[in-house]
Amino acid sequence: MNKVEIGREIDGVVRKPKRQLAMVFDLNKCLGCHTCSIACKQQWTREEGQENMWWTVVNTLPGRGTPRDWEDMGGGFDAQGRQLPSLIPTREDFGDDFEFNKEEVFNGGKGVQNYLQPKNSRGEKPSWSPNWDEDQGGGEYPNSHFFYFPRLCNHCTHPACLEACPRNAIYKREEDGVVLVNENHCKGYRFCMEACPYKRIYYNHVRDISQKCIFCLPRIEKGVAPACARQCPGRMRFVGYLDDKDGPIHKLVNEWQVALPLHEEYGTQPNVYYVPPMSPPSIGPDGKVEHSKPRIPLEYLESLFGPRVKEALATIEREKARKRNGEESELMDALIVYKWPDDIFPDFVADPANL
Amino acid sequence: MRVAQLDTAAQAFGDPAADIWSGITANKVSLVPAPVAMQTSRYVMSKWRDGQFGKVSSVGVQVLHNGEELAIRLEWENPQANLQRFENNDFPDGAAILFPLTRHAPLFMGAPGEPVDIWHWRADRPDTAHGNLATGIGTSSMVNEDAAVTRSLYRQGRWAVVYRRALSVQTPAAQTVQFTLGKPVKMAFAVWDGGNAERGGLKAFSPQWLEVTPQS
Ligand code: SF4
Ligand code: SF4
Repeated sequence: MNKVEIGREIDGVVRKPKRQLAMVFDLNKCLGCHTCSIACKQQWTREEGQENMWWTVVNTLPGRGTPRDWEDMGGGFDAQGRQLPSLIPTREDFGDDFEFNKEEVFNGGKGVQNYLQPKNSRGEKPSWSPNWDEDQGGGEYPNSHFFYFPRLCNHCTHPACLEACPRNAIYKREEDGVVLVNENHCKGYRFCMEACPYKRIYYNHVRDISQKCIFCLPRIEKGVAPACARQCPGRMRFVGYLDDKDGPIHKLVNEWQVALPLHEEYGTQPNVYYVPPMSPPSIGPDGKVEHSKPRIPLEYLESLFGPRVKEALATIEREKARKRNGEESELMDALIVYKWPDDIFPDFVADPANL
Repeated sequence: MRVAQLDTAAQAFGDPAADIWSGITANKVSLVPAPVAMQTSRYVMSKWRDGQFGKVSSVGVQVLHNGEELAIRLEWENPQANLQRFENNDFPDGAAILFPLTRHAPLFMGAPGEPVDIWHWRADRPDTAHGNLATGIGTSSMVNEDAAVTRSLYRQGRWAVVYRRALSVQTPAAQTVQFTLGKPVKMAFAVWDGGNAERGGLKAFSPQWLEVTPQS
């Protein structure tokens, strides 16, 4: 099997799959509750060797993210389509996994002398975790601000991970564009971890393989939404086919253009899109409200989602105003999700409890 | 290279530090970095285009047999031992011996219809060499967890590894090398320096076959 047979050429020619599954995350609705991350953890990463894996994770932005400072690590493609060098994030960068001295404190009779404290996998006091800087955010009072930011593998149209694997162990499914690691073929070389600019691949040191989000494929194939999306109490994770003209994904991404890819400049054509966060106006030095200046600086949002952020936010504000005035707004209705699950992942409404 | 039969028990040569090896001629086999142009990953080609890998320049090869088992001892310089595979950027040191399974199988990991058998030892699982079949670069796949018994030793900046296996084994001949007395067998070698993040195609390898004939 060579790369041509799996729809990709070694010289980087991109061939799109027949259809592409995608997600839209409405950042205005994320509660930062981590139910998504826990749902994923429960479903997929409870085995030995997966302790530190969070295939989906929710960070606070502005912040350093998971793995720590991943945006400074490189990877992806340049404008000419050449793969850019990067590095493998360490366990510490990802946040590792902790053990607590529960026995000692709860059952060992030492509850008064000692307190619960974590140790990382090297037995040391940790200096980082997947959400070490949770709720810190940026800006100075009274303009301090933050928003929650869920991330997972983007199931890219031009996956840097796939191109980097010398063994063709990573493939992109023709029928839905889901990017998968073939665990029988992977030999744990970790070139994918290096090349992925979003740093969404983990190393399973027990099985000596790379692992990442599988778009809950076994659920998807039975018409059930991915665990993170179905469990999300904020109902902010839309799932569907990009080309489904009646579905919310196509509407938000292509029609209303309010959902934008993260770091498009990385060149992998990610398929997770974000509705950027609105924010209240800033307060000026004189204590006056500065209506033209959103509290989350536009430049910051542009550094994540590119120049179209301004337009997207303007569209949302405009439609919000319509709704407030009692007018109809298809966009607001779509974002609100009146009918769950039909309006949020119309092709994946099956209840897993009934399977 | 002719390999005389020694009248000795297998235990006497399974250990790389065993006395018996000091009496066996070592062939110095030259190694070169695997060509960047042959890497089957654009990422690898671009990141390692300066060829900063595969710096181990030679491996000493000794072979002996006792009529039942054949042993191959490799020794090479590696300034630092890398035994671990726990951190995401830990890569253990490794060594491999490649045998053609057809007459014309190319030394570059075989070709379609021309498989090669690869005995892969790695410092993180030092007691056994995995048996891999390959029919081209990037195609190797493990078919046998115990292709050979291995013992290794790291001393004074050098690795020594002994691979031991019965001359002939039950596995279908198409899947693994068989040694017949009087019949030459070709082999090639590769070494990975884990400390330099070498894995997969990032390695030093011998661009020429070494022909070995176990004699009666
Ligand atoms: S986000 Fe990373 S791991 Fe996922 S498909 Fe894109 S390049 Fe591959
Ligand atoms: S479950 Fe939903 S609301 Fe909660 S953190 Fe995840 S994406 Fe945000």
